Amino acid sequence: MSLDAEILTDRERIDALVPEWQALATACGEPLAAPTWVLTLSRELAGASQTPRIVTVREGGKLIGLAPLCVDLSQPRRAADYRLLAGDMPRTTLLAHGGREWEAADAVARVLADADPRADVLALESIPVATCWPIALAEQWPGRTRPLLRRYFTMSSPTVAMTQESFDAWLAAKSSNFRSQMRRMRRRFAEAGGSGRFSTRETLHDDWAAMVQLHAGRWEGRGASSIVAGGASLSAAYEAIGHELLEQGDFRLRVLEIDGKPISVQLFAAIGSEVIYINGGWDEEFAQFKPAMLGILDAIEDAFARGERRMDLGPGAQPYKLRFADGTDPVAWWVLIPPGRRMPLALARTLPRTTWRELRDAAKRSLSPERADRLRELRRRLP
Amino acid sequence: MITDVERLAELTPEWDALAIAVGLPQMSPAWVLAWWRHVAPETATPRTVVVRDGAEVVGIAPFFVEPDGGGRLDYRLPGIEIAGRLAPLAFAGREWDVAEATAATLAGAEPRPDALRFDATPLDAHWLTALRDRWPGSLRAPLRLTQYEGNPLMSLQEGSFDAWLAGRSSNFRGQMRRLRRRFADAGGVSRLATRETLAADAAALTRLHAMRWDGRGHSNLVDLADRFTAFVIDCGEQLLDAGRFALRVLELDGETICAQLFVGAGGTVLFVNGGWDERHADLKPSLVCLFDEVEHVFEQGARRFDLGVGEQSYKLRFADGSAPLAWGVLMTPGPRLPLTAARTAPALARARLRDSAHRMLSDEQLRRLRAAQRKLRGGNRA
Repeated sequence: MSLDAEILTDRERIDALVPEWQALATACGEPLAAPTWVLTLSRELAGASQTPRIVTVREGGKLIGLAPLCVDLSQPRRAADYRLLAGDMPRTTLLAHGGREWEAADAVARVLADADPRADVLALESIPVATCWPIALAEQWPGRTRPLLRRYFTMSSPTVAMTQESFDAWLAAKSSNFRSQMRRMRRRFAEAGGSGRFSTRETLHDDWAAMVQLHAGRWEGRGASSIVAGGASLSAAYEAIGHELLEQGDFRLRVLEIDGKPISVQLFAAIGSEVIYINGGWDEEFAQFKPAMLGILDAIEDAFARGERRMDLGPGAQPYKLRFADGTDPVAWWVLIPPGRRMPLALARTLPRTTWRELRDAAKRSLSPERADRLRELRRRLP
Repeated sequence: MITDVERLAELTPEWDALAIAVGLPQMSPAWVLAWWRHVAPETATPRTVVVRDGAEVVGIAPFFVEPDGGGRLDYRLPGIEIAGRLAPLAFAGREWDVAEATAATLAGAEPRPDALRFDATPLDAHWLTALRDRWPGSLRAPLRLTQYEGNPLMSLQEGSFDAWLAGRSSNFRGQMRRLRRRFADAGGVSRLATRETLAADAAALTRLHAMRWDGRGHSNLVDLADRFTAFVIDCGEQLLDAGRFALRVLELDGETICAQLFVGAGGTVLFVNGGWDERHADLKPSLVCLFDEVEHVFEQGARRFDLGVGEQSYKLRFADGSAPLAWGVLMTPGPRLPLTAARTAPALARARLRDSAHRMLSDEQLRRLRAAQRKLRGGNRA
């Protein structure tokens, strides 16, 4: 049976797609590719210049693939850059039922090649490494010349496999050092009057406000954070997502409190049997309790109770994540430049971004950790 | 790193556990060790990297090298003559750790590899990216992919043969039932090889496969001939009792008219290859045989049926997805890199040319080009 692909731009039609989209994201086990996350974040955050271009791929009426894209018309010389909607999230992707990615990519490539405006660049950011989407799109892009395809950045994303029968069994399989550290942490926190809870509809607003405050506190003087930069509109978007997904357990805020005051808030998303840690913040005054680790430990216990099978701790191999992780499922950044007369211009426009990442990578490979640290410090000091 | 076959065999239990965890029967020890015994080039020696976390084996990369092959010194994974989807093995989530340890070991291996050559490796796996990114040194190893090919799959998500059949088109159901009935009416019998019949059935498989390819081009299995038969018998002896090896045979009046080979691990069953007697083309033996095996695979409780490299139309009638494979070369950084790049350039140019031809020519023009190529090759051989 042949596949039918179509680009949706109209809000009503996109909203009508939500149940099927949700089912597809669930089948793929991709929490942040679910429609509530993608649509809410993109609607709250995208500028007027970014408009959705949702490509649906159907077989006999059934949705088998979906590319949740947007086009950014804010580029100079009326360039049209296509990218994934809500592409700033830690893990985004195109969706297709297992084994249908290559066919779906063929259909997506064909409609994108004819799209209006014509794509000058297709950016696929923070998508799983273990996927055939970028190559499938490039290989099947119609025309006499193959598009340029470049993977310019990869980032580790530590994972926790929850293949054991229970949280206790998982803990028992960890090192005795890990077990005793976790038990000690929990005991000390409880002795200090600490308690943990997940947000409810009633507490969501205040909990999110605490999250933003604690997160901003952690990032002060440490660089840029998208949550801090997102301000009130981003907060509104997260709260809206929370209200939508909290009750089904697909949006989780783990709050740790001492004497009723939040000292740590961490955000998790879930779908099917997959959970992903998105971000968090904690009060440095309580650093001795290691709140980030306590929160993750609680979330793992909760995920076991729900029968979930894997927790993705999100991009970045920070030491506190690595204490829990037993694997990694990295994400990669790709850029695809379709052939055409605007190709040189598109290449010139994307080159600084890709080259900068590659230079950083080369520096990381060439320099000793001490030198890399010094370089990082120097960069922070620069205005 | 293990460099002799005897020591490889000692790893069998841990190695097999990995092949089962990943669902790659073509990378299981029974398969790979049989390859070493019957198919491996004479000068090939193992360069298998075993990665442990504490005492536990978490990954195995069973590369081999032909040190005296001349030209670019490639490390390769064994078995492309017989099946595709070749990849190192690692527990889920550990691929990057295993790739890092493998890359570090191979970078210091003797002889030093100029390149890692990947034949029919899964495109949706971590290995190509992970080995490239984790190759030690200040330069990233250049990776060039030269070819992609579809690999049809059955997801078996329906849970039972009847449910699967009910979900197919009425045309498919009607045709399959008709074919089965016609075969049965003609006195046909479908059966699986046993230990007793294994040798004769394996020989029939080789013979029927060669008959199918006669005058049709090149088949690795035809080149292997008796070595392939010995390979099949070897695998069968190791895997038959575990229910992980199926050599399905169709017989008419006691004569084998079709044979197809399947191998399994961890819920995945792989269709390796087959052959059939053209005198009975009207009975469509390959379709009947595959159909019977689909029923058997459902009965076994398998979760995925890999129909093997290539999107032949008879496979597409059964498939509900595809997991494409890639061919490529990872050139290792070092003083010999420019030479390696120069030696790789012709293959890359050919791949480019092939791609351009596919993009620019019509199907009919491509068909004629392929026919001309075949004639040219035939002429050269003669």
